[in-house]
Amino acid sequence: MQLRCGLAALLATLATPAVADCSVGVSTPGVMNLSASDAHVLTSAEGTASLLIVTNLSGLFGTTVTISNPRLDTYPGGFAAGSATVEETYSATWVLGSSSNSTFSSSPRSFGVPVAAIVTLVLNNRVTSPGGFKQGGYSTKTTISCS
Amino acid sequence: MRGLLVALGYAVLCAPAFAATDVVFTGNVADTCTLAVPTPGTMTLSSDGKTLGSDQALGVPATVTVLSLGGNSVTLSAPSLTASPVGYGGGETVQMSYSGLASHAYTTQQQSFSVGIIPLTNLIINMQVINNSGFAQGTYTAKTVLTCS
Repeated sequence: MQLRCGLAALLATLATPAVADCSVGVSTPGVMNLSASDAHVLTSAEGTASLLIVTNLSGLFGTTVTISNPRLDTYPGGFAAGSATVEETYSATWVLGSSSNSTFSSSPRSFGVPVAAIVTLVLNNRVTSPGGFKQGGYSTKTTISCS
Repeated sequence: MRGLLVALGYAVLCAPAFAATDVVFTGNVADTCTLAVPTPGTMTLSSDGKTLGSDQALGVPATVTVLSLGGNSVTLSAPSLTASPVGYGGGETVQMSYSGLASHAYTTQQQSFSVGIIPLTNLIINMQVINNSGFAQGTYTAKTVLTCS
């Protein structure tokens, strides 16, 4: 009986490999705008936060979602990137649980989610530049991983 | 066989899957510097008749307002005489100086200086045209072109 059960569980798992996964998908890319009250700050809090869906259907003991430190990816020539600070906040919710940190930080963060959880993750990024911003395009990048 | 199946099942069910995605935030900063000239300059002739300048008696320096929300550079092009009356013989030297937001003594050369985040601030510009041969009667115009970017 136990053998049959184990075999059935194994076959079910092997037959649905796409389900047995932890995936991260970006639903809404973030958009940062220059703060109306502080020209030193470019922030998605005054633009559009990034919305992600993390689906964890593997690991009996849940999984850990890690948000890397945000970094400045592109910026106009002549911008003093070395003096800029890139920070982020996050808010994650799933059925019967949540995790968030609304304090902007440049450090990586992580949180655990239970198995079979579909996590809605909202990220905000901001760039603070003591000398302000030159005209042009900027982008920041954060890596979200689950394992 | 049973042990193998259980082990395989456990491995599949418990093995941590790994996924990673980069999240990109984009931002576009529009023009962060504005210039305006609320007061154009007026040049008058010196007592010796060899200098037409905004810092002569009754002359008026130009006032330019600068508002910058970021790391910008203000550039003043080399000054030039752009209009003069018919009969004027030429041979002049055109110079500018500025003060306020930044300062520089009279020069014929293009100038540039950096500005950060500043509120509306005045830049006072003086212009003078020097000609040892003097000036024909009429209207003269000299200019420098300011850019901020």
